[in-house]
Amino acid sequence: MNATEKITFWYGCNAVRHGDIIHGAIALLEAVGVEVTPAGGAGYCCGTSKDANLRAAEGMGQRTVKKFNAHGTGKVVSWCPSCYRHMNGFMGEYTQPQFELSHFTQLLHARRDVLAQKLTRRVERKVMLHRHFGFHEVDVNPLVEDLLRLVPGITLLEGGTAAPGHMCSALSRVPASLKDVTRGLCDDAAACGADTVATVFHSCQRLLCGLEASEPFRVVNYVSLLTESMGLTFADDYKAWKLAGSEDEVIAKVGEERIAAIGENLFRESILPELMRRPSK
Amino acid sequence: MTKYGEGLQNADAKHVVSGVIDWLQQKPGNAQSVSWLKVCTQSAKCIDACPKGINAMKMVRVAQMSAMGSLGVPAEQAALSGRDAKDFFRVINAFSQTQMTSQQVQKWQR
Repeated sequence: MNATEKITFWYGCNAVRHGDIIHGAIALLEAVGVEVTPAGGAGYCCGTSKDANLRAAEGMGQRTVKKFNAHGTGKVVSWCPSCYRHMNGFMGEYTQPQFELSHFTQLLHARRDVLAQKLTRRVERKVMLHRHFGFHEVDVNPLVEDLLRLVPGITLLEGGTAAPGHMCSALSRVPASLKDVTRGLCDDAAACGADTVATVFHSCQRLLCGLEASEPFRVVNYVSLLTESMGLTFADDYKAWKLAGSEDEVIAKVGEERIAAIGENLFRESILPELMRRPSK
Repeated sequence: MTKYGEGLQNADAKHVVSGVIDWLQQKPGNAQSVSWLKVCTQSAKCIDACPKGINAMKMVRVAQMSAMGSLGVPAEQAALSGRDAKDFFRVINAFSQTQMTSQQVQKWQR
């Protein structure tokens, strides 16, 4: 890619819980000289969540590809491995994409020399990477490890067992497996002396960040470690809400204004239970 | 992942796969095939394992779709119905409101 490349950054649906990751990822792309058109949320759904309703999934896929084609960048860079997989495996078969698809880690890794010059602040952490082995389309783990090694101050620890699935949300349908993976992660982090577990994907951050309430390590997405070294801070609201404590404390932390904007019923029925849920191990 | 599937520990592999093929042919498959479909998390090990280079993971995914009732098997015979997340897009939109400005939502997500 050349220095003035324009891309569409497709951050997906579920990542919107983590504005810190999205805003941080955009900052990293801009730092390596890419002009970014961000796209995500429900309006750019790939349809992978609609396996039970393929007509709806197809409509979503067609709409999303049509919008990407209209962007005219010719390059879509995906954050979410599910979106990436669904585009390659399904959407591309019934639409006419006029763009190349790549993954965020690939682009950042390809420009790591430029990125390294921006990583000027020390981040003193002993980091264990939380890895999955299921994203066979892109071998993200070594790419992320290379990126973390660019950060002055970070000690990247060996160890940690790679988990099944492409990210933790794939395991959430098999709760016993997610529980085993979570317990194994805690054991591995203790064994290698990690003070930080770095997640690669948003759903791992979502499902594991609550461990901070009980474990002696922090759970941080690798994007946040990179942006921290650039001197940029993006607050992880989702984790702060998860760790707030009781229902009343979570409600106070989210704030009345946000709850009113979301809608009281939706917040109480769907969002508050999610924020109160703790990782099981 | 099969250790997490009910009735899969000592299952006959051909029997399980025959059920998956039934689902692919839009017919209800056997109970053990359903157990297998339930615990597949798309780790892609099967793709590497296949000497013929067949994407078995994708076949299982399509079988899951069938077992959800989306390929023609009547809903009452579908085995994985009800897997759709409740309020999925409403929750996505709600979190968007908390993490983006209204301008960003308008520009990035419409």
